[in-house]
Amino acid sequence: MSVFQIEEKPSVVVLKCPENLDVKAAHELLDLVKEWVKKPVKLYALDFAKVTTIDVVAYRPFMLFHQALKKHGSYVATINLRDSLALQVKAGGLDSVLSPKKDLDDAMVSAGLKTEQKAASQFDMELLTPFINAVKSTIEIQANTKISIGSPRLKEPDERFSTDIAGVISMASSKYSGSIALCFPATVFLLIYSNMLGEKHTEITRETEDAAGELLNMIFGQAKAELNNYKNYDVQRAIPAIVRGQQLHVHHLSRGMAVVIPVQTDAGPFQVEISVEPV
Amino acid sequence: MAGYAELRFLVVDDMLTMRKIITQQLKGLGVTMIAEANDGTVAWDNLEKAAAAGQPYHFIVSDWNMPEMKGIDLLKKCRASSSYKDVAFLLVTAEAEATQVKEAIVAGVDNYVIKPFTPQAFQEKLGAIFTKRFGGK
Repeated sequence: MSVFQIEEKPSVVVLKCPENLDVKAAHELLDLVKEWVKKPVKLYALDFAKVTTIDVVAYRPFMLFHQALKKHGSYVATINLRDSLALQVKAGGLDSVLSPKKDLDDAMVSAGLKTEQKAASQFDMELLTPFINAVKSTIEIQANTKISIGSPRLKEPDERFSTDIAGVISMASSKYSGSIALCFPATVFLLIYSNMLGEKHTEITRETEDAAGELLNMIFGQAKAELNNYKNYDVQRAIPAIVRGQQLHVHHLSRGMAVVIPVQTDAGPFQVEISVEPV
Repeated sequence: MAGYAELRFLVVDDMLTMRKIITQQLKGLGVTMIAEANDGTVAWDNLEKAAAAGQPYHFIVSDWNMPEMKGIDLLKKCRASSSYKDVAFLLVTAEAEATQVKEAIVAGVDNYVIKPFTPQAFQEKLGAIFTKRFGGK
């Protein structure tokens, strides 16, 4: 019977370790790894919540465990490590082998499986709020379209949103620089266009496409006014560009992460993406 | 006393969508003579040609942010010109900062509409100029 409790999740295996990590436990790890390398997952997290002692003779098997999985592109981390054991791990030169992390979320971020979701809530709402307000007033007043705005969240790596037309604008200010994109699927864009101008179209054309730029122009202008008038951002004027195609992917060049403001309409969702970095 | 139908309007905006929206609003008010320009430089050319043809524009409705010549610069150029200094000028723009509104007032704008706007807000601002400049009701 295994001394480890194993939990398998998508892309993650969590091994709940026994109270005493002795050589027997360490050798069992090596037996497990022989199977795992045949079909490795991205992250192996050793949960040390119950561990009170680590036998020094277990060090070498841990190193072999780590090497075998790393060779196959997996990431090994330790979570819930007690402070006393953390000192022992460090003194034994096992920091890079066991990669202690605060918790499973932290380990998943290090393994590239998750972005830092906590950071989304700490994202500068001073910057985001004017844009949220501007989206609501622009779409509801100028485009006569009722919307509901969801909570801002970080854009996941490789996240795709079905975009057939986007307005994109650069932002330069005394506090942040980056880019803002207004991304629409065709059906949503055409509903908004119809509500704004009273014209029904079945596809996006050269005649209709600049509405995406004009909507972004209005959103940016309002947000800029609020940021400059009340928060001394000194946001510079800019003229939006329009990109039209099928299944577009907006890639922001800023080193900062992109925040998505999801918006729901009767015809479906669209979104605003804001990607900035401090100046 | 002139009515809207007797006035020649020039709508200036680099975005076709906004020119359409403004044109619709103007037609709703009874305006029948509307020309469009997609930049301040084109608008200036139009002003010159219309004046030369003896059919000058009475009213300009212009955006602020345009690639070649901004609306504020078109306004300043009109006010500095003996031929166009008295043309009615309404700025319709997403530029909403206090400093910009002030700059436009100093430059001699008749009124200022901030996007997004409702038809009522547009009518009110245009109507105020119409009353002041043309004695309309």
